[in-house]
Amino acid sequence: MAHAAHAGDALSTLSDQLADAVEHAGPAVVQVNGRPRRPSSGVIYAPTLVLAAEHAIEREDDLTIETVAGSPLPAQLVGRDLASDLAVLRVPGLTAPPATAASGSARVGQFVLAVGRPGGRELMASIGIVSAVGGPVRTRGGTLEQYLRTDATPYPGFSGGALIDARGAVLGILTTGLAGGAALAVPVAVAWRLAEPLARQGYVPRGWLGIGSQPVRIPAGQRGGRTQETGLLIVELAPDSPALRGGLLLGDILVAVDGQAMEDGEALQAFLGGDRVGRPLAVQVLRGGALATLELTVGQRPGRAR
Amino acid sequence: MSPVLEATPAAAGWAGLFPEVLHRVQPSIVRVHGRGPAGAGGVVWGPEAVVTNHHVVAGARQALRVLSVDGRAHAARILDTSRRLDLALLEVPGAELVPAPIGRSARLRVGELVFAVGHPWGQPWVVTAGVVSALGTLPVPGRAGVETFIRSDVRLAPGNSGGPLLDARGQVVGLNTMVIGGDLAVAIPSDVVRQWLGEGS
Repeated sequence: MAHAAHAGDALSTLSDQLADAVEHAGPAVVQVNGRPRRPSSGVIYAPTLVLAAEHAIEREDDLTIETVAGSPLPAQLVGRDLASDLAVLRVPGLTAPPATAASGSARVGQFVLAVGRPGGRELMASIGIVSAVGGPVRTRGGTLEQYLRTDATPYPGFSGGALIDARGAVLGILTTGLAGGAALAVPVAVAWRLAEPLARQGYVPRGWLGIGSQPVRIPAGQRGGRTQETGLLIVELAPDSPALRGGLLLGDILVAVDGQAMEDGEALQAFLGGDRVGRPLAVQVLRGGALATLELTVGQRPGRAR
Repeated sequence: MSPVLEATPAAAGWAGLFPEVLHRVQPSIVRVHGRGPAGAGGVVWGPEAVVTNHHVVAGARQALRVLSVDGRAHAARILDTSRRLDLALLEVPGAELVPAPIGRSARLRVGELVFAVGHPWGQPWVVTAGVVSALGTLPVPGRAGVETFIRSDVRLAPGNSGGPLLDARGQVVGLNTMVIGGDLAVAIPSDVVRQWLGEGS
């Protein structure tokens, strides 16, 4: 009996810790009213700035957020990014302190809580583990370099909410809008970093070459002296694109950029971050079985804001 | 040796706690056979008293029976029911059951551990775990007004009705009642049951 009581105490300690974690994260998790009758969630990541789920912002006028304090505060949409399903809102009247970001990276198997506030004052939570850490992955609007998957239940309106660890620190921003309703989260380091250009200029700059490609197997003997077995066959060249200007031709097989092997489209997308816009790039292609190097200037992906 | 699958000592420690807490409370959890063939849950409230859901026993065509985990079966009869609260009090004459430790649902916090014991889809004595997802009020379908409910992410199915929602100490903090939209379980708070039984809160 004494042993059983001890078990109860120990389990209570864990239980208390989980409730503490929710309580700790709670004030930085807000309700976001950006579409009719279906509120979503958001996370205060910096003073007066909120990260929300892009897909849950269906209007730019009459945006409001609600905190634990209850009354709606007017919010302004300052940026949105389809690739990560993130949007940044500015809320001048917001006084609640920002969320704490987890310092380490998420580990598969660790306990997590999904926390959202679709019901206004009432905070909601569900428990699970980190089921997978994956990426880069193709999404609606481009490529997301990394994502977390969880088996914690994403209740309706949880998109934009926080995936937290057992200490209440934010591991990621939840969304069901990236992969067919699955509960994913944009890792906190990625989300915080993307939020910076979103808040400053309204979009996330992403490098663009203007090619359509598909991965192909390179026949042995046509690898131009390289060992790489797959490359990207150029099947499309956008008019007035960096690729066209740089001399790429349909039928070229792209094998490397700046010396890094590119075996699939995801690798190339991940390579073309916003910091490469305007920079020169050495593109290695196989043309007629021989290796050629072309100099390109990375462009900015058009249609950036939506 | 498989470094990936090997549980850490801490995790192994936590894993051992659930069965211990459960073992302590199990004699106070019963299976109620009333309306359906599969049976539902029930919580022992007194030596001869069991609380379950109204919808578990309403319109039962067969004689009510209460089964304890040790396999004993007892005849039972309805003492009182509330359709509005979906609660029923059963009398189990001569049963000498072990009353469950009843917790105060008012003290529950969002995120704290809870677990449910029931008989989902007729599978006997199934335990599911989760956390308190929300505490609040919910409109009752087809009825006027709102009721206080505990919402949790424990996995429930038909057959969990009337069974206990337990906290980490193994105290009954609610009576599992229904599932909304597949992933939200609703329980009647223990304080509401107390109040209905005239125990105050």
